[in-house]
Amino acid sequence: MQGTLDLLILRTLQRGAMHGWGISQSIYMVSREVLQIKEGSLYPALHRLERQGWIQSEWGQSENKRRAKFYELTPSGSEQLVEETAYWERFAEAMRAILELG
Amino acid sequence: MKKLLYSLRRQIFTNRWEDELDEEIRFHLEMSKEQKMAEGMTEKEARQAALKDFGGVQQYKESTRDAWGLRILRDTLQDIGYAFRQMRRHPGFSIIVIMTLALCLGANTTALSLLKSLIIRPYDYPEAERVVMVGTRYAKLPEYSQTVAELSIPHHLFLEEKLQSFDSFGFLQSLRSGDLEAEGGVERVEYDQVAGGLWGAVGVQPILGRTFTEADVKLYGHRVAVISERIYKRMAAAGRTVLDEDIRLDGETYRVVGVMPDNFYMGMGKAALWIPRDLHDREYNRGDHSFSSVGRLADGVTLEQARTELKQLYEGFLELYPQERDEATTSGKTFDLVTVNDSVTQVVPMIKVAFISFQIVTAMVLLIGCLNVSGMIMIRGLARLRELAIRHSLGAGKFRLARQLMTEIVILFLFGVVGSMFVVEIFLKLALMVNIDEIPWGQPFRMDYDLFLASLGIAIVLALVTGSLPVISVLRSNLQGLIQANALTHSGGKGKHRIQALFVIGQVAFSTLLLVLSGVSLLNLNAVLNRDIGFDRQGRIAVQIPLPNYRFGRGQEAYLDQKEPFRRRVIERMSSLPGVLSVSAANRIPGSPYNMGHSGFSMPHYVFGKDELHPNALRNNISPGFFETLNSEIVMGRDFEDTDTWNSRKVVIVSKSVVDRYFHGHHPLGMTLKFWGEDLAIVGVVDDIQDKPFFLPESEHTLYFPFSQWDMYAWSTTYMLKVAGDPDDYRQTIRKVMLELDPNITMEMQSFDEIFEVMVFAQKLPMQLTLMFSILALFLTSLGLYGLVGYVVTERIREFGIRMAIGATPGSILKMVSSWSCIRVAIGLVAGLIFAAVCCHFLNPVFQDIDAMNPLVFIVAAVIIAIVAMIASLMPTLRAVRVSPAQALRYE
Repeated sequence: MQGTLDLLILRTLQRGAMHGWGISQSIYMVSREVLQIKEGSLYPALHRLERQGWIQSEWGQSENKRRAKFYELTPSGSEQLVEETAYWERFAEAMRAILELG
Repeated sequence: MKKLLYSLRRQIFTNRWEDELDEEIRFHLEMSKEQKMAEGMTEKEARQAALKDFGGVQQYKESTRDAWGLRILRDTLQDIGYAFRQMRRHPGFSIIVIMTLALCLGANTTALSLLKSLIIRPYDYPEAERVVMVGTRYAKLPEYSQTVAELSIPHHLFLEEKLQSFDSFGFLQSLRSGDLEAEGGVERVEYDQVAGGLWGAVGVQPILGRTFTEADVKLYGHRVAVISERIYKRMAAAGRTVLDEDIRLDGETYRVVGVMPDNFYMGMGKAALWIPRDLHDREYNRGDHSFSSVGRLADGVTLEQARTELKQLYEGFLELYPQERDEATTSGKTFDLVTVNDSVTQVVPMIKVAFISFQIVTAMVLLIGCLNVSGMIMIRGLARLRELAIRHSLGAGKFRLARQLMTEIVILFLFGVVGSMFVVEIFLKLALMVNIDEIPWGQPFRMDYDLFLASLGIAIVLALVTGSLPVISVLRSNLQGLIQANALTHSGGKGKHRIQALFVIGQVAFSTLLLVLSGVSLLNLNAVLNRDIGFDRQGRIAVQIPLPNYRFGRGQEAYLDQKEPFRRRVIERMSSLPGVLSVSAANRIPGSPYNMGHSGFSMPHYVFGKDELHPNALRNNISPGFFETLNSEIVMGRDFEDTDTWNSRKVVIVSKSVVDRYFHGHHPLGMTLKFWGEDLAIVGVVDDIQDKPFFLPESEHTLYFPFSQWDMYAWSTTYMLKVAGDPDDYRQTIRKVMLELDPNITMEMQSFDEIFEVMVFAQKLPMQLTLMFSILALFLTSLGLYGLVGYVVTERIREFGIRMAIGATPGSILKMVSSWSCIRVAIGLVAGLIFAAVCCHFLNPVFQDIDAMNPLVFIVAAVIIAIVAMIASLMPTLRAVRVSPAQALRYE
C-alpha cells in the first residue's frame, strides 16, 4: 500500500506544485473506490517523501486566500518517479502474462 | 544525510512543527467540509463526513510524527510519565509487584554473588585464568586422581630451575601460625611464606609500599614483611607510620615494606602478613609435600602446552631422584597444573554442587515470581481493557498501547532491581552471620559492578518476557468490539484460557519441585545429624594453645624439656577445675577441617597386590585419655599410657577400618606397622570416628600416635575437656587459669557443638535456603492462584448470577469453579512431581545418606501443594458465591 501511494503522490506532483488537499482530491478521484485509503494517510506519506528528499514543501496561499503548505517534486524525486513507473509497468506485464496463462 | 538534517531540524523546532502540522490538517478538513456543504450537507453533517473521510486524526498525526522519527524519544518519555501515574494510582498493586520482584531478583543475585566468590572466581587476580597452581597428580589413586596436590621443596626447586612456560613462578606455604606483636599485645595470626616470583605470579598490587623483591630479601636477610590492610589499620590507628617500621613475629623482627588490600589472599585463607622463605638454608625432605607452587603462564603459552612441559619435566626429575620411581609407578605420580580458580572446588566438589543447586533454586523462584507478576499484570491489564478501548477509539494505535504497557512493566522491574539491591545486602549480611567464613576461603561477600550489571540485564530481559504475555493479549483483543459489548468479557478466548492454564500449571509445577527438593535436603540433613560420629559432642569444649618455637625452643630437646612438660602442666591444671570431668590433648580436633595431615603406611605381614594402592591415613598425635574424653570405644587393646615414653618401644593405635581391611585372620595387637621409616607396634584398635567435616571426601583410616614419642606438630596442641553442664560456662575460668600458668600464651576455644556446625555446613545451609525459598515459592504461587481465580470468577459473575437466579445452588457454582482450578493444579502437580523425580534421581549420589527417591517426600509435598492450592482457589469463589443473584446481574 505504501509503495502505491508514494508513487501516486509523485505522479500527481509531476504536473506541478500542489497542497495536501489538492493532492488528495486528485488521487482519490482516480482511485478511491479501488484503493480504499483514508485521506489522512496522505500526510504521513507526504512527510516521509519529504524526509527522503523526493519532494519539498513551502507555505503559501491557497486559491481561496487561506494559508496552506505546498509540495513539489525535487530533481531526485523526478528520477525516483521514472524508476518506480518502469517497475510498475514491468510488474503489470508479468501479472497479465501469468493470468492469461491460467 | 538529508534525512538526518530533516530529522534534526524537526527535533529542534518541535513545537513549531507540530503547530504547522495541525494547521495543515485543519486546512484539509476545512476544504473537505466546504466541498460537502457545497454538495448539500448541513454544516454539522459536513464536518462529521469530513472527519470520517479523513480517518482517525490522532492516528495520522501520530503516524506522521512517526514518519519523522521523532517519535521514539517523545513517546517513551510520555510512556514513562504515564507509567508513573498508573503506579501512583494503584499503590497496593505496584508495591506487591515490586516487592515480589525485589525478593526474587535479590535472591538470584545473592546466589550469583556467592557462586562467584566461592566457586567461579575465588581468587580475583588479574587474568586469573593464566595463574596456575603447579603440583603433583596421583593419577592412579582414586581419592587423588582428580586433584592437583601439593609438592615438596626439592620438587619446587627443580621446577623453578627448568620451567620455560611461565613468566613468573613462585613458592607458597600458606597459613602458618605465629605470634604477632603489632599494636595492642600479642595476637595469634596466620601468615604465608613466599619465595621466588610468587608476587609476580599473583599480580595483585599493594595498596601501599611494595611487595618484597630479591633485593629486599638480600638486604633484610629474609626479615622483611608485607602486611594486610587489617593489621595496617590497627597500627595506623595507634599512630604508627607502618611503612619502613618493624613488627615482631614469633620473636623475630621484620621490616614492613608494603600493605596488601583487605580482600587479597592466597592459598586457602586470609593471611595477616607475608614473609619470605629461604629455600636454600638446608636440605629439605623430598617426602614432605606441604607446599604449593604458583605460576603465571607466559604470553602465548596455553595450559595444555604447560601441562605437557610439566609431564616431561617429571621424567627429568625421576632421573635426578630415582628413589621416587617406585612410588611414581604405583601411584601414577606426575607434575600437573590447575588454574587457581579451579583449585578450590577440585578439593571440595560437594560444595560446588551445593552452591550450584542453590543458584538453580533461586532461578526457579525468580521464574515463579515472574510468572506471578506476569499474571497479575495481565489480570490488571484485562481489567483496564475498557479504559484501553476508549483510548483506542480516540486514536491511540494498538501498538502504542502495547508499548505503554511494556513500559509500565519495565519500570516496575527497574524498581524491583533497586529493591533487590537492598535484599542482596540483607542476604549477604545473613550469609556472613551463618559463619560462612568458617570455610577456609572466600572473598568477603559483596556486590560488585559486574553483578549489578548482570542483575540489571536479567531484569530487563525478564521484564520483556514477562510483559510479552499481557501485551500479546492486548494486541490480539478486539478493543473496538469491547465498547459496543459493554461487558468485561473479551474475545481471544481460547488463547487467553491457554495462557491462564499455563500460568497455573507452571507455578504449581515449580513450587512442587522446590518443595520436594527441600524435603529431600531435610531428610539428608536429618540423616547426617543422626549419623554415629563415633564420639560425643555434648559437654565438650576444645581449647587450642599453641607452643611457638620462639618461646619454647625447637628440636627434640626443647620438645622433651619444655613442650611436653608444659602440656602435662596444662592438662593437670585443667583437670583440677571444678566441673571438669576429663582432659586430654591432641593435635587435631575430630571433625575439623584443619590440621588434616595424611601419610602413607604399610604392614610387613601384608603383601600388596600388583595394582593395589597403598593406604593413606589421617594422623593424630594424642595424649593418654583422649578416647575416654571423647567417649570413643577402644575395641581392642589399650589406650596410650605414661609407660609409652620417648625411649620405649614406639607404639600406634589404629582405627578399626585398618584392621578390617588389612588384618583378616590376624590378631592385630602386637603386630608391626611401618610408618615414616619406623616400625611401630600396634597396641590398640579404636572405633572409626567421623574424622573430617561431612563436606570433604572421607578418608578411610586414622592412625594415632602418642605425644610422648613424636615431636612433630607440637606447636598446635588442642586440649579437649569433658565438663559437667554447658561448656560455654567454663570459658572465662579456663582463660584465667591458663593465663596464670603462662601470661604470654594465646588460646582459642570452641565447643564441640560449634565445630559440629562447621562439619554439617554443606548439608545444613542448602537445606535452610531451599526450605526458605520453597516457602516463598509456595506463598507466591498461592497469591497468584488467589488472584487468578478471583479474576476468573469476576469475569463470569454475570453468568453465575443468572444461574443462581434460575435455581442453581451455591454449591454447584463452587463445584464449577473448583473443577476449573483443580484440573489445572492437578496437571501442575503431576508435572512438578515428575520433574522432581527426575532431579532427585540425578541428585541421589549427592545425598549420600538417604534415598532421594523416597516416596514419602513426594507424597507429603503433593498433599501440601494440594491443600494450599485448594484454599487459595476456594477463597475468592466463596466470596463470589455469597453475592446475591441480583447484585451479580448488575455487576459491571
